[in-house]
Parts: sequence; C-alpha cells; structure tokens
Amino acid sequence: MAATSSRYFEARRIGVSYDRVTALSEVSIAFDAGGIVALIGANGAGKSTFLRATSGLVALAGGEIWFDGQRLDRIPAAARVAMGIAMVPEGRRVFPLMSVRDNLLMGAHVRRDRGVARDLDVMLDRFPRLRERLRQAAGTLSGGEQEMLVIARALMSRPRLLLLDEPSLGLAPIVVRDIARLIVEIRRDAGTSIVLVEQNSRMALRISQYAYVLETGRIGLEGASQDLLNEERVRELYLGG
Amino acid sequence: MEQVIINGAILSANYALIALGITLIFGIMNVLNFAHGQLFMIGGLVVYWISAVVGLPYGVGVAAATLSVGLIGMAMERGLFARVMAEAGREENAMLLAVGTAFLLENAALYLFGEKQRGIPPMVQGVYRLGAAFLPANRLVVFLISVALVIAVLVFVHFTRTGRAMRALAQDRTATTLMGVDAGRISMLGFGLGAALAGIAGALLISVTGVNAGVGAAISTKAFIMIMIGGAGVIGGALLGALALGFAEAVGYALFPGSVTYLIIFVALIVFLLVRPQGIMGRPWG
Ligand SMILES: Nc1ncnc2c1ncn2[C@@H]1O[C@H](COP(=O)(O)OP(=O)(O)O)[C@@H](O)[C@H]1O
Ligand SMILES: [Mg+2]
Repeated sequence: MAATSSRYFEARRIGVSYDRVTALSEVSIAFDAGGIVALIGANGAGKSTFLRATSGLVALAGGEIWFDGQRLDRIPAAARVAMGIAMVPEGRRVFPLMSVRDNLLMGAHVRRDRGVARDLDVMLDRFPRLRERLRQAAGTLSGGEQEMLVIARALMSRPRLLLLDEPSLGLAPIVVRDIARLIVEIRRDAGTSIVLVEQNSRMALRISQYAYVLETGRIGLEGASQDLLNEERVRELYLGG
Repeated sequence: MEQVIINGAILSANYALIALGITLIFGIMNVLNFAHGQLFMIGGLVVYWISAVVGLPYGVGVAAATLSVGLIGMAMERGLFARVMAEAGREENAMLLAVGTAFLLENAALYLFGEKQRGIPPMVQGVYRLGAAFLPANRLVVFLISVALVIAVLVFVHFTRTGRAMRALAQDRTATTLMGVDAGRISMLGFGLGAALAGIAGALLISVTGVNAGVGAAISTKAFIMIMIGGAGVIGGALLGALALGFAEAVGYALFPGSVTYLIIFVALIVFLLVRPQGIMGRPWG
C-alpha cells in the first residue's frame, strides 16, 4: 500500500469491530477538499461507526485513514481535533448543565489564538437564538436549538473537516430545512469539507455532491448524489419509492 | 449562641474543602472516593512531620502536604483507577478499588507515623472575644484560609479553560474528547486537585484538632454525608452539605454529649434521604 494518499481524505479498506460484532469491513471512502459527502444507509449499517473511526473514538481493526497527507488512524482522538477534524455526534450531546456560552467555549478548547472572542461573537450573530440564551443551561434548549448549538460548538474549533451524525434526527421539517441550509452555508462560506451522515437520505443527497451507501458494514453503492437520487435501487430502499 | 455560629462557620469552611474535593473526583471519575478521609489524614501527618519532626515552618508543611497528597491523588488515578475503569465494565470494581486504596493508605500511615494522635501548636497565638463568644486567632486563620481556597477553586472550575474542561468531562466524557480535550490528563488533574483539597484540609485542621492515622474513615463518612445532603457531583450541593454538616455539628456539640450528636445527624440524614434521595441540589440517580 502507498505510504501516503493523493486525496484530501481517504479511508482505505477500513474495518471496525465492537467486541465480536463487525461493524465495518473493507470500507473505502475518499474525497477532495471543500465538498459535502453524504453517507446514507439503514439503521445499524455502520454510518456512525465510520464517523467514530474518523474522529478516533473507535480504533481500526484494519485499514488506514489519511487526512491532508497525514496518517490519521494512529493519532489519539483529542489530537485529531487540533488537526482540524470536528465531529457532531449522534443525539447532539450538548453539555446539559453548562451555559450556552460555556458549550461554545468548549468547542474552542484546542485553540490558543486570540480570535476566539471574535468568533464567538460571529457565531452568536449567526445564531441569534443562541445569543438570547447565552447564560441558559444548554439542557433547557429545544431540540432544534441544541442542534444549532452543537454545530456552532464544532465550528468554534475552526475545523477543516466537519463530521455530522444525523443532524436532522427528531427535528420538525421546518427545522430540518434550516439545518440543511446551514450545512450548505458552512461549506460555501468557510470552504469546510463536510461528511454528512443522514437517515433523511433525500435531504442528504440534495445538498451533497457525492454519496456513499452503506449496507451492513460495506459500501453498497457510491456515486454523484444527483445520480443516486435517480437510481432505482436508492429510490426504492432509501427514498420511499 | 454566638459561639455556635463561630464554631459552625469554622467547621463548615474546613468541611467545604473536603466536600469540594470528593465532589470533583466523583464528578470526573463517577466513583465515590472511599479513600478521601485517608488523604485528609496524610495531609495532616505530613504537616506534623515537616513542622514538628523536621522543624520547618508550618507554611512549608502545608505546601508539602498539599503537593504530596495531590501527587498521591494523581498517582491513584493514573496507576489504579484509570486502568481498572478501562478494563472493568462495572462500577463496583472502581468502588472496591477505592476501599482497597483506603486500607493501603491507612496502613502505610500507621507504619510511617504510628497510631498516636498527632498535633502541632497553633500557628498564631491569642484569642478574640466576639460578644459572649471566644474566637482563637488560630481558628480564625484556618477559617480565612479555607474560605479563600474554596473561592479559588470555584473561580478555577468556572472561569479557566482547564476548569471548564473538568466540568465538561463530568457531564459527557465522549463529547468532551470530541472537543479535543485529553480526557486522561484532565481526569488525572481533577483527581489530583480533589486529593490536594483533602490534604490541605487535613493540613489546616491538624493545628486545631490534631490527626491520627485512623481518622480517615470518620472523615470519609463526613464527606459522604455532605454530598448526600447536597447532591452528589454538584459543586453547589457540596458547599450546602458542608454548611449543613458544619452547623449541625456545632449545634449538636453545644447541646448534647459528643456521641449523641452524630447519632442525631445520622437519623436526620436517613429521614432526609427518604424524603429527597437525590439531595438538595442533585438530580435523581439512575
Ligand atoms: N458500542 C457498540 N457496541 C457494540 N456494537 C455496536 C456499538 N455501536 C454500534 N454497534 C453495532 O455496530 C453496527 C453499526 O452501528 P452504527 O455505526 O451505530 O450504525 P448506524 O449509525 O448506521 O445506525 C450495528 O450492528 C450496531 O449494533
Ligand atoms: Mg448512527
């Protein structure tokens, strides 16, 4: 195998197991900088596991992950954040007893530059609802507000690669639209590369350029998102016919 | 009456150091540190050793006690708790480990210092009169240092980057790791800080009540009472628990013979926990 990767991000035949359960095997996913890549698939297909492997929450059983010319999979999870990888986990996971402000500052934990205060201000201009609730405990926010908060929190680290795990889960359709618009804007404004894991396949395929379909731990299908939207098999299985 | 308030305030301030320490450790590790009283005891005995045996100033003793007990705490986290908790899925394992550590520390202290009650002379002489009450200058100093330390810890936990990471870690370890926090390092620092607070409490109290190698279990029991009153893992709860226990003790000692006071405190605690099992500020467990 090559001792480097020519792609901005490349997972090369990676495998992940939990105890005896194999969650991913021989999964290869690669993309260049500045796009949105969607990862769709049924419940339990291994989507979250792929993100966890990328952020370092689970170790690989095999394969390699490369990011911007560096071998990623042997670097501890915390250090990957400093390299520019931020993940918004499934189920939001705000720090419920901490204020909105402290949640956002936690997002900037790895930063040592003087721009944090300004970024906080910019973030609060972008999310006026969060500014109104700045001193409130994050656990008291609504689901949509919490999703905004965890995305804003992840952005506070100024990531180059943003991993989003089912941001639309459990949100009202109108809020899902806001989140989708936000994801598109993040990519447009900051050039952030985004991996979007979604059960809401239609939304994910609409706002992404390229997509992978995971089927019980393996890549079943991949291609331009436009094409997958029209693919018979995808329409039947993931877009409700 | 004034005497009861003065005694209660002094006890509360010292207990607050103990309760804050055990709360930090509980919050971060999710384990009740059964060895907390032994850390307190070691803090006291280190001061005794430095100032009464070696003959260095009391301040040096307090600094040495804080540092050495803090280091013991970090070593406990690194060498014992982090390992056991990485391997074991069950919380009981960490609890048993804490109990075992308590015995280990107690026996080490017995071996090194013997079982005699140790005390040191007050660091400052003199007694103030406040109305009908007496306030020895030494107790006033202990009180002021304790209050200053409690405030310093609160400021640290609420307004510094590391303190914020400790609070985050207590709420969600995975999410905290995703913020780029080295959870292992913060756990070690948190355990060290919690231990150091127990050590400093012992280092201060030895000039008031004295300390012996067997005092740990009683201090741990007091620490548990305080976090049961206030609510486990909540900093505000720890402070409330310290106030409640400190004043209950002061009132009790003024009215009853020594052993009756704790009998009443235990009965009151049981009744209180039946009404409010999560403590005053705690969330329900589970
Ligand atoms: N912590 C875990 N322990 C054991 N098995 C797990 C764990 N997390 C996920 N799995 C299993 O791994 C597989 C993939 O899960 P996951 O990545 O969460 O799927 P998805 O995000 O696509 O729903 C599933 O079979 C799931 O049951
Ligand atoms: Mg998932």
